[in-house]
Amino acid sequence: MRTRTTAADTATEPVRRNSARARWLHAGVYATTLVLLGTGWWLTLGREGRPSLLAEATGRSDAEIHTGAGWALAAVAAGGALIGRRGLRSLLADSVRFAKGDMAWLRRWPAAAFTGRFAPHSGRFDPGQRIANVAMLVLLALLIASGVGLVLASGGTVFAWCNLIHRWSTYLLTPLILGHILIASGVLPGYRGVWRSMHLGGRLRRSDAERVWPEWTRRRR
Amino acid sequence: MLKKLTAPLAVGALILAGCGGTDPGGDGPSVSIEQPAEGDELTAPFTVVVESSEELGTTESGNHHVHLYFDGDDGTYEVIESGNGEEYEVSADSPVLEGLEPGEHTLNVSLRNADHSAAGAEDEVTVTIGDGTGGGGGDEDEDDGGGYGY
Repeated sequence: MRTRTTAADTATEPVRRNSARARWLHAGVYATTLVLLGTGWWLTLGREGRPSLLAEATGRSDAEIHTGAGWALAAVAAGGALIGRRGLRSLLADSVRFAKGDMAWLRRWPAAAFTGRFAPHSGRFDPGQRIANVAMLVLLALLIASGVGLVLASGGTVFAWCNLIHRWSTYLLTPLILGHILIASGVLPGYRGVWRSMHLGGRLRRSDAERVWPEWTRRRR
Repeated sequence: MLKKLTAPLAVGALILAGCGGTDPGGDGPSVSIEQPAEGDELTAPFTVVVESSEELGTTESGNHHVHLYFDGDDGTYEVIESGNGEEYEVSADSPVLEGLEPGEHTLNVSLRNADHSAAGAEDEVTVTIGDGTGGGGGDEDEDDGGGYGY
């Protein structure tokens, strides 16, 4: 029996973007990071001593939850770097690269986020993603290192420096993560459907993948 | 790889440990409640005075601070981070007073490292929380309106 494949079938045909290991690592990082951002901003905004909903639910203070979630993130990051070192190397290699057309892509990006008409690029990640990947990796590394420093030092001059790094890394990382969530959620028309690349099997529709990562998708045929 | 990392990590840990908040005198840090006194009746706002062997300050300074709470519930607390032996006012809308019934309670203070971990010094006094008509634990600005305003 012959089966006919139409253009519509091809467009909805799923493309696997991320492995199960990458998705689990991503889930571990964002679960702990969201707890850290929530409790961290709660403390930073002068709510210390007033238990947040999370603190009330767990019976632990926000500072204790923040410290515990920080260790969890450090463990996830260390485990991820160890178990997924090949994936990490390829993430870094695919992120730290610049091409001629990147500036054109970036210029068209604000409008393309709404229209979906992105400028072409040939990478596994688009130029905006590459910048965000590098910035998030550096800032997360700084946050983990300074967080470990805060706990080990407990107080004193080293603590004060670690606290300064921790705070400023948070100020820079927070808008990046909010932007990442906005883009990844698919609320913006240009990024519709991309949330599937990190969830529910990591498969997204070919038409969605081609819109955001055209060359990468063609290589996946 | 692991061997290469061990030495720098050990040196780093030693440096960090050396910079931690410890008592230079070797007797361990201390904290005590100077005011209110045992048995005082308090009505919000009221004043608390603590004395510590450690310099108190903000988290940014890396100095110690004091957590103040009632009845051993250290999940809800006030942070005393300025001064040492100076007056600190607990206001009527303080989280430590939320849901606190009038009557006898234990006022706890705990000396904390800058990272909020316990520094190993605590003190407590038993006080009576008034129903809004009682004395003020030495505070000049007593609220005679009844209750804590929530």
